[in-house]
Amino acid sequence: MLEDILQGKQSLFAGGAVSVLRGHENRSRRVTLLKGDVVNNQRSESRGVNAYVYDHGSYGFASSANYTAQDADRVLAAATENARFLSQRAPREVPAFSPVEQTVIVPQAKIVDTPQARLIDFCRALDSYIVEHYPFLTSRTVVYTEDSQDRILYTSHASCGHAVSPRCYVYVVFNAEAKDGSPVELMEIFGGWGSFDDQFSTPEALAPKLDALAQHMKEKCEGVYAEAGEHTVILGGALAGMLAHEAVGHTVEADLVRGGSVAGPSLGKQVASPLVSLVDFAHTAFGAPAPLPVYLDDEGVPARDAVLIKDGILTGFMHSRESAARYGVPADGNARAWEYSDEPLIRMRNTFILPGKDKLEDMIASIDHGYYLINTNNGQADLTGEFMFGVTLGYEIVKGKLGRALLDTTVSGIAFEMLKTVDAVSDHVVGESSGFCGKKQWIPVGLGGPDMRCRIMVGGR
Amino acid sequence: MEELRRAAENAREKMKALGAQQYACTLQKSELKELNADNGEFSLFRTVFDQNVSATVIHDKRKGSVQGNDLSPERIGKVCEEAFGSAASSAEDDAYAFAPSEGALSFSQGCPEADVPAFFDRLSELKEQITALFPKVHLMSLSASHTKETGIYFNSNGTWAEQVQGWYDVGLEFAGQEGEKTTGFFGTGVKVDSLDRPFLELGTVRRSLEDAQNSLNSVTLPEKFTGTVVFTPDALGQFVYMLAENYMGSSVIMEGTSQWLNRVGEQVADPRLTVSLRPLDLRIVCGERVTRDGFLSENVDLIRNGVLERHFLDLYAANKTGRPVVKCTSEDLVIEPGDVPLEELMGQISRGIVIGYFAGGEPNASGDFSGVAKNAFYIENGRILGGVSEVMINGKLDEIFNHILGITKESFTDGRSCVPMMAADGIVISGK
Repeated sequence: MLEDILQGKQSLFAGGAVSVLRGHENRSRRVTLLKGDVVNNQRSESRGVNAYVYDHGSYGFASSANYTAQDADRVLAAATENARFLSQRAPREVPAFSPVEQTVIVPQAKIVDTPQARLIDFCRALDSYIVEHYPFLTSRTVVYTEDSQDRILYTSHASCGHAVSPRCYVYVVFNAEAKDGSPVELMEIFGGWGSFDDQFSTPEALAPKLDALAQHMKEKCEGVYAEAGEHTVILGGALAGMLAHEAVGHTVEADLVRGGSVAGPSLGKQVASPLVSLVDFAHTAFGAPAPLPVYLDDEGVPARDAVLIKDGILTGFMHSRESAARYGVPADGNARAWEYSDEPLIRMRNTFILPGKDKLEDMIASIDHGYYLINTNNGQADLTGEFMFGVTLGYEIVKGKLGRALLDTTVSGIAFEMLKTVDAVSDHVVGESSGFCGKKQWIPVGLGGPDMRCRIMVGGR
Repeated sequence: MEELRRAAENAREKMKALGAQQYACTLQKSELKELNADNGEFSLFRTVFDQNVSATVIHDKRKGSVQGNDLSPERIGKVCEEAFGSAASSAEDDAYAFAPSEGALSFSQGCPEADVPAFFDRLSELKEQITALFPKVHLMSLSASHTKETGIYFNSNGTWAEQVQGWYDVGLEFAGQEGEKTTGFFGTGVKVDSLDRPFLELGTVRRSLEDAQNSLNSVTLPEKFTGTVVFTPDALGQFVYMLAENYMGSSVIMEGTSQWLNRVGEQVADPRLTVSLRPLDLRIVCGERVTRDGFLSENVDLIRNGVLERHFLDLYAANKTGRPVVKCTSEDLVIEPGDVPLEELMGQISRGIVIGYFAGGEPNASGDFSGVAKNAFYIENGRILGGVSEVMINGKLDEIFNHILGITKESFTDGRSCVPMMAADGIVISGK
């Protein structure tokens, strides 16, 4: 864990400026086995100190890879100078920031360093199990990956604290051949918040999930292409989460709203079916820790939930302190940075569509011809609300029953049109947390949702 | 450089003291100065002082790598120890290796010293030009930086390579806007080593801004059809990178799943297609000089006149599969231009679209792709009728490059790549 060398530096903050001094360390560990060979065996740590200064309408930022008290002084001076350089050459008019609660956040987790040998042995045990039990596979990849952030903040006009965010995952990728000999691939991800021992006990404990993945893989090898066009589908929870993040979440980040996103003119209006509510959770969701809890953002704002859609009505955006001031609302702690060298940007945290009351089996039974789409591997969104995401696991629905598996496809649509077609929402929520969101910088994000019946464009043959 | 040399010597001495049989280290210091504008206003000036060290050890045929960003002797020693320990916990593999000695090398490229006031002035000029020439374009973000990088790579086989380089990077995100109507994101960028030309005249900057504005004039795509897709330089680059990864890359060759596994020397694409990685090309700014394996970088043809010249393999994959290594690990893409002017090529198209970029993730293992055609325009009888949205394209990667209608004479250079435009037939295009 980071040592606090920044205490006492607040006396160096420039008078009248809004300043944040942050010590920050990222760690990552990665092991990749491809057909049993260790093709990647890596450990990485980077730490540093940065200062983020807002003065007379402009921001200055400076960072150093030397995590020392001396470099803390140096970056504070450089960031202050940078803000002045810009405010003199390109002055801006920005409303004054709203006051922020001034409290001290303490760490809610620890970072535990697991020996690399243990990680390799775990992956090799999984690989051996796969080879022994699934001889139909032509190839397999097992990846262990973990990343963590350790941040210490001191601020002039906001909260201070120490926030720790570890997470770890095992990715398993199966390759096999379809009946026509063409390659088929399927991936599953296991893991979540915490260190290795928080998520993984023995390799054998993952066996039931690997067996389930293998069964899906066999079905996918017999799979068919989806029919291109608009269809009635059930989006599984993972895809509902991807929708929440890509199709809605990005359009309601206030910097993109200001940039002209379709959400801007829609505040207070019906943008979705009344069955749809969407929240960007800070640290607690449904009475339990959110997939990736955030307690303090990188402007020193204590994190709290941002309600974005309630009963289909667009109720809010996600903000930094500056955008919150422009829109006359409080900030909820959405300003986050990935590395010590990164400035905070408006980012999502744990973006979920809330559950409803329907049952998945009833939803499937209600569809004469459509699809049940279960898993995804990527997604993108646009200012216009146009979104797409890849679907890596899905099934036909034929006369109310699941049919053949689908080969890889894509779904797309315009978020606020597609969400109005949602007419059933299940009572069961699935959360996911392994991904990164890209927007000038990467950031870990959580997302999730229930199963939803809707109309959507499906790519296919 | 002296400080970095001392740090590199520390690392080398530590590796010898550990008794590591083979090792490679990279040490780097960099300074980044970045200006950011949001919604047309300069908002942030960012300075980053960065450094990093990475150490890789191969010992008893086992390999481990560790990275850190502290160049103090104590921390460098720890990084080397951890790499040694990490290797010990790995598995034996005869394929692990570093490149043989390339001797002592020294490179200096680009413009290591930043001229921030001049850079600010060029960026201000760009903002003003966008406002004046493209009144319906909203500049959402402008992120522009100068990077100075000093680095040393050395390995146990005797290579010692020093490099000093500097460059400017400019990235823009914008959209066409008129009242409440907005197009999707458009983006473009350039990498340069001097400030002697306005940024508007470089790469695809002007063309992309024009497209964003023109995209406001939108039409609805008719029913699903099989037609021609015109790939802009950005989209063509995307598809070629996907082609390289899906058919020629280390992973798919080692897995044995590549559809081109045994096709080196065979015609895999239209004879008009030549795809190279050319880090030494003068049009590439600060191209790679030493590969990640430790080879002196070379220009490499992946596909020449439609014939697959080689797979894109690093040293490990080459050793694993018994195939030749490629002495280039960069993505400095050069696609040979064709002989058809763009206007003439467009005139040949009865029905199709222009695609600015593809939002569809990675194609599947057999090369099938399906995704949204972004920043797209509908073409009918040789004329662009308007911008379109919610359009998906589907097909198979290798089939695109076997159904080329034409490749343009015009080529676009952005400091990272030199790419023309290309039209291909036989792609399924579907609207809502």
